[in-house]
Amino acid sequence: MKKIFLIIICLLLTGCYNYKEINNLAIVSSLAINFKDNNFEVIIEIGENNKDDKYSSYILKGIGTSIESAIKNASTSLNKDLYFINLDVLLISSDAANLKLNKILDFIARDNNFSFDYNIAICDKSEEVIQTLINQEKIFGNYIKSVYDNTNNNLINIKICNLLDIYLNNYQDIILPIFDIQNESIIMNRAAIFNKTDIVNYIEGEEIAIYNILNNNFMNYYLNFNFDDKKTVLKGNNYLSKIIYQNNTIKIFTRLEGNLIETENFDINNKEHLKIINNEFKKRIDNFIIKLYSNNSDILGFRNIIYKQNKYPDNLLNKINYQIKTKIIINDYSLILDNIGD
Amino acid sequence: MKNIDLILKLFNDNPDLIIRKIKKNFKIIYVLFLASVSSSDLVNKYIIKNLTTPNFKFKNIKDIISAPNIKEIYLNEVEFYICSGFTIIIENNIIYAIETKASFDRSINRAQVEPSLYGPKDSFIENYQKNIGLIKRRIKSRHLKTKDFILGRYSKTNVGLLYIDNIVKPDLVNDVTKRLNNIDTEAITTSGELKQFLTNENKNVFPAVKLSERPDTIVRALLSGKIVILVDTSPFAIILPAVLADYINPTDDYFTNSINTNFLKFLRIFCFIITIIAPALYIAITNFNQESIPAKFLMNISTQRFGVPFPSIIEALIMLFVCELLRESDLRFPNSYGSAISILGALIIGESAVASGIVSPIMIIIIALTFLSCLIFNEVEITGAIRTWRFIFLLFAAFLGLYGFALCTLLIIINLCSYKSFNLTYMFPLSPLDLSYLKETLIKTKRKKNNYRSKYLTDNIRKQV
Repeated sequence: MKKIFLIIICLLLTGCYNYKEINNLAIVSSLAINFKDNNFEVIIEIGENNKDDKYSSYILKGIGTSIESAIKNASTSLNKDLYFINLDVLLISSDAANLKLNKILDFIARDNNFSFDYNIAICDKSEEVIQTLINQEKIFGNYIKSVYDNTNNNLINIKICNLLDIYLNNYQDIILPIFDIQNESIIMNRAAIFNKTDIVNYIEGEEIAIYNILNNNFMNYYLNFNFDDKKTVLKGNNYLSKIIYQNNTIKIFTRLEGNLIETENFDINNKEHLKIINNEFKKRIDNFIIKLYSNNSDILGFRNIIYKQNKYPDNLLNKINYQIKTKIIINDYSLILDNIGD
Repeated sequence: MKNIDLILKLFNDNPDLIIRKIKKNFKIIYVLFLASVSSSDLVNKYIIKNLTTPNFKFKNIKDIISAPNIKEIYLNEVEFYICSGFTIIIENNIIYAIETKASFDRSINRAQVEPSLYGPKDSFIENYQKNIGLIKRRIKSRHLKTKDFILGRYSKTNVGLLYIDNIVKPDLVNDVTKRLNNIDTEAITTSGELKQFLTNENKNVFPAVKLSERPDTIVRALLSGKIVILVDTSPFAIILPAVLADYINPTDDYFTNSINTNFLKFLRIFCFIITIIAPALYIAITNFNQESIPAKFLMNISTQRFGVPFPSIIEALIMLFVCELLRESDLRFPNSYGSAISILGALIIGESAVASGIVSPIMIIIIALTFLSCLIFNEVEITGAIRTWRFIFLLFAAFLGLYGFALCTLLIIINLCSYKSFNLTYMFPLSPLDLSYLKETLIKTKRKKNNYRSKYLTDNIRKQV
């Protein structure tokens, strides 16, 4: 009896410290942080399920000198606790990214009310973007998460844990996708590349595909090759990239496997033609790296690779030599070798 | 004082005591029996008819009594025999007891508590001898031994300890014999009552012995090296030792394909876990560790709980209380009321509780899952143990969330591993690991490959070639 009494006393005195009823939680699906006039502006999207079994969301907006005070101001009239653990997307404005990224990441990393498994993106019209999907009776955060989870589209997918990992690494620069709005539809095919904490340039389309290929991020990619009167589209379904540091040179090996899904005046049996595709692909990687060098943006982590080997990487990316080796393999199983009609 | 006077003094105020005084061969013969427990027909057929036949001379009364069971007894045994339905004859102060028991037995019926689809349909009845007969019908061997005990100062109940002498471990027989001999109580009326004397009650909520009404289950237990205790007037036999795995292993498993049976065994283990942890896990996750729920499901639960005035734990306790109430009333009430209770329960739980906002629909699903999983176990003691642990888990989860849940999981594992049923660990055959008993209980292998008995239960381990 004494033991039972002791257990009950222990439970009563130590328990319930983080007790929360589920219906008293405001489940935040997306959060946008803007920096304007030396103040933080937050836009909080709260998701809920109506009694008619439809998901919907609404927006809270607050301004404050710090992120925390802005969040507090936004939720003053809310009768529930803000719950950020299920956050799906964090949007940061360009200004906030350029000027206050340090503070934003510090706030997120300190506050244990955040998880480390949500996507992060740059968006200058965050309220508009979120509202567009709310008007379509969708939850913005949820929608973006399902885009990343269920499709292999050519997008930059950066989770907060990856961002923190890169941000805390002195020898690598960050890249963040950009969300924009055009004719009431969300555009996600651009990304900002950084030098330290400043946005220095943007990449889009095929450059994003090359970034993903070099980072082994799985996605669907279509590479268009046009030379003379010959045209072809390569749909990749498998690839492997390796970046190593050897003999004072960064060596990039990329093996690409795919199908040619559209061809015009293109002879698949001709090895010379395939060689041309390979060279073209190599050239595109080279151009991509030149763009990074010109902006001194080390998003591929060359200096980090060097640092892991000899601890003394050059601060300037330009001084690092690199070499590219590519190999394109066409899946010829059940492939029609001749063009129909030729 | 003459014997007859002493007996009459012993049985004063017993109006059912019948005394016949018969003059024969210039002697007076007394015939005494209790009309309530003896058969008048048998008394007449075996005794009165023979004693009252004119010109029928005899030297010894045993010569003219045609009953199969006749004994010469002492005065101090008269009480027991006469109350057991024997007829007492006193001739020249010599006392004879003749078996003339009235039959109070029902016929052998189908098993009610442990029904089987393809197994034998017979089950034990209240007659001790017939119950032994049902076992001996299946084991025709001289090695099946029975030790008789008479327990209860008033009830003088026949209790039989059955075992197969070349399979069972002698230590176990000695231990149980010792425990039975130490019982000194006023009455043993059922096997359920006896089992409480054999085990350390209140040490653990899980039962250390198993009750069964099926002779084939009893035979299986005897052949695996266990002991069986039969109690007169009880249709249930006690099997000991019993471990947790025995409750997840109904006899029907012996009759079906091993792959299908293994699936069912897995399902039962899963149900055993679910029925204990489901409400606690729900409370822990929804009140403390919401991060483990996907966002959309979290929103659904949140919407469903909208308008419920109570915290989840109170909601869970209300539902568990109502369900226990329904279950208990369903058990105690006559069968004809059963459907009324079901309808009432379905109305209360299914419709009204949700409509009135006392509980949320998700809680009803959780509690329904809990109780459905529990229905797999038909033994009252094991369901009682499950219920107790369910509440302990709930308490820990309500105060400490998943941390409390993990703490309680450790507690139940420690509890089960440290508990013993007659020197056999309760988590046997998992701890200590014993493959041969594992094949008997938690996993079913091919019949041809199941060649050994457990070395923890017997020294005679080979059972087939």
